[in-house]
Amino acid sequence: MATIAVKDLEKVFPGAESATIKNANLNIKDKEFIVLVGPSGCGKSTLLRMIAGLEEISDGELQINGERMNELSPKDRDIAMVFQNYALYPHMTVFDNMAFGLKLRKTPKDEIKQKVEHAAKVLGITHLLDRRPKDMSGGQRQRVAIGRSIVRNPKVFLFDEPLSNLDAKLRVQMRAEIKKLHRQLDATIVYVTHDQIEAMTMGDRIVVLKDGIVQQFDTPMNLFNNPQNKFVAGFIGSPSMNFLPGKVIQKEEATFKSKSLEFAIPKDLRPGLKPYIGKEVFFGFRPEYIYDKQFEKSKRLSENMEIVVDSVEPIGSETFVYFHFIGNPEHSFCFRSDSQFSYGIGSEICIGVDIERLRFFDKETEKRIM
Amino acid sequence: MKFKSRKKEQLFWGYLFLAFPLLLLSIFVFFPIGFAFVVSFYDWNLLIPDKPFVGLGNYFELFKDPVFIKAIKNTIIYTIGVVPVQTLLSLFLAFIMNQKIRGRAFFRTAFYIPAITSSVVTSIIFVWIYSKPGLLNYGLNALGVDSNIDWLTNPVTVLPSIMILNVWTTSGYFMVSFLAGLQNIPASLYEAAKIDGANQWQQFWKITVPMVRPVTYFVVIMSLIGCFQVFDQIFIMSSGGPDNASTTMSYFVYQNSFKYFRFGFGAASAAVLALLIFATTLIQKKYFPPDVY
Amino acid sequence: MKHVFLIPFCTLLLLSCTKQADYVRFTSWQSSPTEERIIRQTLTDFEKEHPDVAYQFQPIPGNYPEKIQLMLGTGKAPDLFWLKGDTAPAYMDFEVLEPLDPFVSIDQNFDEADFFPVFRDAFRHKGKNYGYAKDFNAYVLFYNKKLFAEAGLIGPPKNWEELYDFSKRLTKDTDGDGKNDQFGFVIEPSIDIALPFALQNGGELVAEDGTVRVGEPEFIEALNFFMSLYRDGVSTIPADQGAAWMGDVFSREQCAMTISGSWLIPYLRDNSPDLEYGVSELPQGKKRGTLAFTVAMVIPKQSNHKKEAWTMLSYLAGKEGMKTWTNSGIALPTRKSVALSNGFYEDSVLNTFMQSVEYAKLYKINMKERWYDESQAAMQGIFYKNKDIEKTLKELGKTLEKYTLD
Repeated sequence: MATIAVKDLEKVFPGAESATIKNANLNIKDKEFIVLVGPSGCGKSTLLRMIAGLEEISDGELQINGERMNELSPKDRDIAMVFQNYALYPHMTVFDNMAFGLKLRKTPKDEIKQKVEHAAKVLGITHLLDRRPKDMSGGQRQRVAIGRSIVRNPKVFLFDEPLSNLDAKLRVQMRAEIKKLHRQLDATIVYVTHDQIEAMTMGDRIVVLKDGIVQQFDTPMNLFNNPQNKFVAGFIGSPSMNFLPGKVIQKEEATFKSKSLEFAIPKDLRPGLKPYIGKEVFFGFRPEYIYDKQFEKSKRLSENMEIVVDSVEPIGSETFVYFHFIGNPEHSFCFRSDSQFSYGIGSEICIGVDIERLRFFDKETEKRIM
Repeated sequence: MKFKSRKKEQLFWGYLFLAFPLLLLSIFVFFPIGFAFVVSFYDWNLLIPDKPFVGLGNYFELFKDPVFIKAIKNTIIYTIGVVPVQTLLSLFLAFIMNQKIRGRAFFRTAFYIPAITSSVVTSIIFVWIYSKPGLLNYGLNALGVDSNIDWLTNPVTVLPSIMILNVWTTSGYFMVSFLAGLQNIPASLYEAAKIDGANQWQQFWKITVPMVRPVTYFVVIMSLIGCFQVFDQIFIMSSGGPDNASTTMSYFVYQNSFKYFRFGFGAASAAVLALLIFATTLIQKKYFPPDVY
Repeated sequence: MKHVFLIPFCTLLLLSCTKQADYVRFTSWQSSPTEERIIRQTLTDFEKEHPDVAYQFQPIPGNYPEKIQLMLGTGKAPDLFWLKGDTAPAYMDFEVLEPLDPFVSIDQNFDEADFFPVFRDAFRHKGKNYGYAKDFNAYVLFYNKKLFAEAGLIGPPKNWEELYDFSKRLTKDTDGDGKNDQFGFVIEPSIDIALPFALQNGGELVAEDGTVRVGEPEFIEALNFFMSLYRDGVSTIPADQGAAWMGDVFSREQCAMTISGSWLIPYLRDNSPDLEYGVSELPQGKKRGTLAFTVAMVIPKQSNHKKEAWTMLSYLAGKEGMKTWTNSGIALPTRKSVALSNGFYEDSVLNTFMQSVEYAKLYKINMKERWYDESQAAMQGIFYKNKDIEKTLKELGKTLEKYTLD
């Protein structure tokens, strides 16, 4: 059993002007695969290292299985960590690298042999046991690093951007392997990445961080469909959500008005937006939920929006279309069309957004209104 | 100038730039070494015009000379005693310097100052420290250890006393070399070791020491060469005594060449010393190579 | 392109051609500013007397023996230089010095007979005279009058028994800590301090004819007595007191007696001006014996100004030069006439030195240089390793036989 509880955790580096991690609160369940994601400098690695015991906790409490971990050194927390640069001991063979932790705990020799060989088999590196790190590829080295963690059978596995140094194809392959490993190991994993696609594909739940503050802790689908603020909305999803700043005004009905676009707010959303009449908001709409009014008849779409096509990127299965609203050529947006898209650059189209996918964010707090 | 090919042109300029330093080296290093070697086969007295060729005569006489045998013995004892202690101590110091402890700047200075102070000055200071009413006896007595000898005139303690002085003097210099090597060890290695369960002591032996091996190789070789050639301290502190207890090979070379006028004999003993140093470094290279990871 | 290198090269070549010096180059070592001042004063007097001789005085500040050796070996030796008595045998044997007899025979004023007998032939080797002693010093006994009075002793010891007995009575624990801090005597485990005792016992290190006699019973017996002074605790050694030399121990009043030369006098004047001391000849054994040290002026064979150099030498080691030189008290005269005219016999302290001259033996060992280090090693073995005296001296004798001059 390995639950992790982060309570009001705070980290201030000595001499720093502000906290690197502010008031983090997370409850990680046993055997969950949690991903910490966010842009550079958001504090995700720091948070991970605080769980590992490599960074001191300035305030708050860290609990693993209900026990307070703040004062314990890494080796007493029963955790294992896989580093971005693998951190393999260059002067030892793969076998010795993996056996190192066990040797330090005075595990008997045959037990070490058995554990190392088993982990090597799981990872497919049995043929590398006698090699030195410098004689292996990046992917092999990463496997060894993972193997080193596995042999000790810890309660919690921590991964610090382990795939960042690999090429794209290998990364995709390793992602699947790590997911598979999670099922095999049946352990709690905390995984840090800056790649939101990686986060979405791997995590059971994802922690989105920005500037040291937890923005949202939720399942991938919830983050996608119900982002709690503009940052999460824009971070998750590729290509990212389109944003248009504007105002809610009262015409015959509540209307969203921006420089280049004006449309009546759908009936269902009017009650929610009533308090915002006269206020500034962001209108968010995902590329996936924009439809050519000419062709899309099945969904309930918003009012007509007139656009001009700027560029077209057919990628085979889909086409990415970049456009701007008539009257405002500076502001570019994106929508994903099917492969039948045949309009050329400069064409004027009428589009609409799936009503259920309209999102509005408070301009000041950036929190989601609808 | 016209050249047949670009490659020849590059070669020409390369050799031209090398020519001047090579000339200097040849005149002031290679030629004297070679000449000294030639002199060792003669009975060469600077003041007597007659310098007969004696072949290996000087070498035979060397190995029958009890003072030379003693010098070899002393030099080997000195080297075996100093090199490991010096290497370990400077690595250990560098490791401590690399951590963020208080008083770091003081320790760094305290250990580096002797390295850059003239060896003559430190020798003279230590003659006083090692004397009967000197600081060492004073300190030992204050700690309750009864100590009342002149460390430099006691045949048993004279060589160890000079050895300790040398360890203290040069450790600072090698500490700086090790510090540079330590900075090259990625912090993540220590972190991985910490997670694996290593304490400070284990981290030192299982991460630091192996990773710093190329520097260790350099330090050991420099230390070996320096030990084989130790002269200043012997000259000032003990003049090789008492009863040749601290006569080293380089001191023997000096005595025979400049005090006894026997340049040929002195050159022969210098040649033996050079061969000894050369053989030792070859052995080290073969059996304890740096092995960069 | 090649011309660019030619010009500086030729210039360098021209500059390196040194011109022949057209004056006498005179050199000495530098032991004190006082000494240098007196040298220059003597030279000024020389100039007045011989304005026709051009010279240049270039003292060597350090490593004198090594430098002279190198200068001789590379053909750049000065025309006139000082040579210590104990290194002289080697130089004379190598025949790098010019024999001076031809110059003496035509120089009317030199008066070789004026020299004390022991110094007249000090630098004679295989029948030729290579240098003249410009001054001398000798070992005498210095004693602390106040400490003697406290112990109820009036005069200095006259023989070995008295030396031992007085030393015993003068050794005491003055501060009540159970350890003696005042000793009767101080000695040094050094061959030149032991040698007077050997001489007084009828022994010697090496005989005139080259026989090594250090292993003979007279020397062994003398060294036994010498060592007993230290072993029995009535004498100390400088190392035990943290002092650099015996004179230092005496000056600090940590011992009541010491053997030294006249160089102790200015040292005491500077460091312990209130110390009342007396000087006497060394206590005798079976006979009287002491060592005399001297420095010669020599001219190298390779000199191109031998005649002018001789003129200088003749003056500096002559009656006039020696008078000026020794008048300062810095050293003692090797000429009887100078000793008389400068009043050396009248002064009670200096007279002791002059009396010693009658029986002193020159500190000049006709062996290859290495004899000194081998002898010192033997002494150190006896003092610091408690080696058996008879065995060690006999071994030393065998070793020294290898270093006789041939």
